[in-house]
Amino acid sequence: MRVVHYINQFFAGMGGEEVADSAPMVKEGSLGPGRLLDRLLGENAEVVATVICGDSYFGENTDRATREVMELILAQRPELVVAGPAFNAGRYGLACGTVAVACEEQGIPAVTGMYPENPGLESVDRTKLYAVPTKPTGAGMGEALEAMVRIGLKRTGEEPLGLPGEEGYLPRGVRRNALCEQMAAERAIDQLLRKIRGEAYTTEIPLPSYDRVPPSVLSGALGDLELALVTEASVVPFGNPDRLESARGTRWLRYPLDGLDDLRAGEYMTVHGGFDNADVNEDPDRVLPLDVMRELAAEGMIGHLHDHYYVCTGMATAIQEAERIGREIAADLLKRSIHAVLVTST
Amino acid sequence: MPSVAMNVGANRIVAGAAIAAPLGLPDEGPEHERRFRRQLVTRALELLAEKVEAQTLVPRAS
Repeated sequence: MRVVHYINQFFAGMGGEEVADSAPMVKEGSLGPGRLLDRLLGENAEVVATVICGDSYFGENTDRATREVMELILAQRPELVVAGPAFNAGRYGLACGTVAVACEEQGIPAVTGMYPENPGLESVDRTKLYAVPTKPTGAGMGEALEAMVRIGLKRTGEEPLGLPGEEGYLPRGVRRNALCEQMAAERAIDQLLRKIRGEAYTTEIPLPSYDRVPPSVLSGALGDLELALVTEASVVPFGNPDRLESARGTRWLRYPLDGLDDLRAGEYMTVHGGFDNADVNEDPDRVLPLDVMRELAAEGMIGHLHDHYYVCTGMATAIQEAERIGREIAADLLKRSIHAVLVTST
Repeated sequence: MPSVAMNVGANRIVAGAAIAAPLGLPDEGPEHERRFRRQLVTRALELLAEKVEAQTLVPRAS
């Protein structure tokens, strides 16, 4: 079996940051950690080529770098692609994850490895990513490669790959129906009894964990600050020209408020799929209170109302997406030196 | 839905009137409604300026 290994400039032995802008290149056979990979793959598989790209090059021109790396990889006609492991290196994690997903999209099984909190994981389509959890640093190389080879060989073999917890790869966020011998009540009682007895048990539905952020303090007096209106209630110009989603939101938009003192029916509307829209469509100020904000700004309670409002859809929106949307809106606000927001929500 | 806002960790929360019109009272006439919205937004802005140590929820006035 033909295997291609993707690594960065550092693991290729070219150097560190000073050569991190190196463009993609290919070397015959295995290199650096690829030598161990080649050994672990056994007799029926071989690292035929190593594709190398500098981490900065990849991080700064991700689309272009992906295209170039994929050209080099595809030219080798691989049956399996192994990327990294990237440990806790963010740009390298982004590169390994992006390359692995691009291979999957071309129908080539791929496997990578990284520290579960590697920020690169957030930037790729996790449903298409087979990644084993690794230690944060290169000290975990041996066990990481062993796990990656196990998953990689399994993915190219006859036997189907099992669940993340059983096989040792990071959950992809995919749900699959399965038939259980016992009904839910029996399984729940079984877990409860195990818990009471102090035995190990595994929940069938891990609950999402939410960030806790210490309450912020206003950076000045309210009467001196510029404040922005943000809403998750999908309030858009009438007709929804930018096609904001009604549910499972992935986007945020900002719309101008210049010259507006009131949001009127027939000019603005909500496309939120989670509640009866009639009241808000009759008067959008019922969820985005521009009318009274203008009043309060004129009276000096706030210094100034920002000339755009921000909107997204908080309806069956994945927590990861919501966190990203929040981070992006916050970054955009800070870029404009806005330090106070009113977030309205249904 | 203040309970959702509490669950996800929002620090300053002012409860609205109802899911379908949190800052409105569609059945109570435009003047009353506008007064209500102004009170709610004013309360939210006051809360924004307050120093809070933990998650703070202003329940809906009954």
